[in-house]
Amino acid sequence: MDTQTTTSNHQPPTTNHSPPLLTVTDLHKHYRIGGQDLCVLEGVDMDVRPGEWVAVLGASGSGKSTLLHLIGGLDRPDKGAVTFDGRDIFKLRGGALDRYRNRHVGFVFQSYHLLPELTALENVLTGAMIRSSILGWPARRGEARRRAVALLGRVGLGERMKHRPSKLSGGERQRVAIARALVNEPDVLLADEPTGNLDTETGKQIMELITELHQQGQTIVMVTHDQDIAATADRRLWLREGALEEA
Amino acid sequence: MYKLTLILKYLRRKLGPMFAALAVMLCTAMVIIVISVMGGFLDLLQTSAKQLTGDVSVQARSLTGFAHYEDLAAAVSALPEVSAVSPVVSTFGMINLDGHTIGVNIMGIEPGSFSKIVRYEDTLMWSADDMSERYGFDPSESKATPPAFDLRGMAMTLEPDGFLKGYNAPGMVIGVEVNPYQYRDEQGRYGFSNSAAHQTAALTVLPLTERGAPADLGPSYTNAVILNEFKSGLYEIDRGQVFVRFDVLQKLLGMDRKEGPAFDPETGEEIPGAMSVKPARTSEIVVRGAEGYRLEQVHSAVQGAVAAFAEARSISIPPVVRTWEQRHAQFINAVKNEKGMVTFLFIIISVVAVVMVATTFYMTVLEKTRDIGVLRAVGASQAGVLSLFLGYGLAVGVVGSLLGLALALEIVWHLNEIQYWLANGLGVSAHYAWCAGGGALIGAVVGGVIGYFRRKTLSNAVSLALLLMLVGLIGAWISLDQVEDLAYKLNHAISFKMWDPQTYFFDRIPDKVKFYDALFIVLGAIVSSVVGALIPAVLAARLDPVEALRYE
Repeated sequence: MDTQTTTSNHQPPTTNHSPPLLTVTDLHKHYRIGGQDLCVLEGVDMDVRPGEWVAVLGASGSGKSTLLHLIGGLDRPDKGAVTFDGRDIFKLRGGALDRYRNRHVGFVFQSYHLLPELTALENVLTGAMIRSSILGWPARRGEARRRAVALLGRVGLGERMKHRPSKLSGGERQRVAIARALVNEPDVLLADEPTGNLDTETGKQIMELITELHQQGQTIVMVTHDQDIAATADRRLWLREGALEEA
Repeated sequence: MYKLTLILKYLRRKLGPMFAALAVMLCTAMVIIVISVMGGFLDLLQTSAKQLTGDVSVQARSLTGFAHYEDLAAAVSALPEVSAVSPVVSTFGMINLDGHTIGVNIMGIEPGSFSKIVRYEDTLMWSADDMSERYGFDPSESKATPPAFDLRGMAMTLEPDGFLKGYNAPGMVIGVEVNPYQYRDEQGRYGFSNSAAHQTAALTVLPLTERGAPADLGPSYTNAVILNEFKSGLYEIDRGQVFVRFDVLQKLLGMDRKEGPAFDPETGEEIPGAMSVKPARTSEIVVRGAEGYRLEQVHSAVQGAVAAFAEARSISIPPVVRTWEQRHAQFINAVKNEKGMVTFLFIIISVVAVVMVATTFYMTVLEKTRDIGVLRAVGASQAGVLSLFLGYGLAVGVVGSLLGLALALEIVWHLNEIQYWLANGLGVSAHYAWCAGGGALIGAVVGGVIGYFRRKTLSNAVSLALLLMLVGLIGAWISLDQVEDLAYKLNHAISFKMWDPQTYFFDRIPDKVKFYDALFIVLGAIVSSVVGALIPAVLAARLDPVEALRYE
């Protein structure tokens, strides 16, 4: 899996006939809250093809975020598989799942989740730093930094790289978060209500940025409850009663 | 790599770990200071005890001493385990120096052999250089040092020389604190100008008969010329000991060899032509062991010689043979116990430091829960998060313990100055009071000016002017005299003597830090910090990333 390169970035959008990059098969997940079983996912199936932008719609509490966490390998399902590059990610051993999260997916969260002690640039570099050991870092540092600077420039924050999150507006924070998610050139960008905490105008700007990324070939899985936002995606799926259906 | 970046960021930006580092620093400093001072005290005590009495001493059980010591000394000296012996006669007595009379322990020694066993020569305080400095005499210009100026040479024979011969009195070396005019300056040094060298003093002793009764003539006394002063470093000794020549004190005590007419024990009549001889006596023989022999070997060899001596002379109660450790055991063991106890107490304090680090880190983990989730989402492994917090603990330990080491070195090295400063009323003086007052005034001016420029209002400037006038009025009211008076009173009220040389035998607080002690304590503090960080680090690593991300 490590040898997988991220060629998908420069592929043309909507390549629906290519084999799926990511396959979700019969995914089950339940939570136990207050002594009661709450089944959120009851057999979810989906494919994501390279360069595709899939929007998952659903009411709040329908399990959208859980699905995204499972796709990103952040959580474990009760049953089912997430297959990436022909392998079930939940059967990966010895830190390979951590590497999957680090190199093949990039998370963007509703409430940005930047590290408050780090500057915008350092936040973007986090993924690259995690990828590299202390000894390996000096050799990689220049390249990683160039890429982080380029990404921040691309999201329109070239002038604010030294600012810490507390000095940035919500929209700017989300841009930093997007840059952070892209720093290791992931195959799939996983966005969890990326505009949920932003006002309409700023949300629109973030959506423009995501659209632009998609046009450059970035594969995106986005969950949202907002149909207008989902409208920009190639494909919309509804998560209802624990299962997905085409909109 | 992210771990190092985050550790460095967290160290600088978080208050909690700073407190943890502070706790580690203080604990480290405390332990180093205590171990250094107590250890230094013990070392000093042992060294001094050994140097004061030689390796082994053969002591009379009675103040009247024991006879035929020459034979015993020769026998002991012949032992392969022994490198040097010297007889010492000692007694309690009085010294009258310039009208001041105090009780002292008077030791009669043979300086040449005594100095090979007991530290004597290098405790002598004054030399010809001190004389020349004092009287503007340059020894290099003159062909020879005038004999009476050779203070060290005279002390090494205890024989007055040069014009001091004119006193027609024996020589004497006194402890530096025996001299009532001698005192230490701020640096703890004695000055030659206060020394009693070249003065005469009267020594009074009480001679005893062989059976311990006061001798017929009652107390005997002699005048003696002070040739030099000594400083052993043990306050008790420096305060209460003088040295004279062995034969001088022996004679003064009537312990010298006496010949007289012999009497018939039955009739009480004088036996014509017969002589009775009372052999010379001594109080003690000090012994130095030969190289390569352990103290116990020297001790048992000397004990054997003493037993043989007692056997041959039919002495029922032979002199007692003791090593320096046995002789000072009570004293040394007391300090050893004290050191052990204090070390134990500080181990408990170190455990407290571990708990403090653990608490701080636990709070940090709680505070950083969401960040941990983020790091996991970006690809950090459980082991990575674990090592992040362990590394954080290590960093806190390293920073805290190194600062603690620096603090401890600073305090221990300057302990005597700190003690002096505390003992003199925290250094309060009129000078400092004026410095503080002046500082306050300057501070007020600067603060007011800054205040004015920030607010840009005139009312600030006016109130500043009023404030300055008030300060000026108070300054005028407190004249210099009053400040001095105040400083004096403060001095008196808050002076605090941390180390009283009269209680603590040594005139200086031990101020050396042993390298390995310090290294061991610093490493211990670092390990403690990592141990303290362990549980929080494990908790952090085991956090469910999804839960962590939801944490508010």
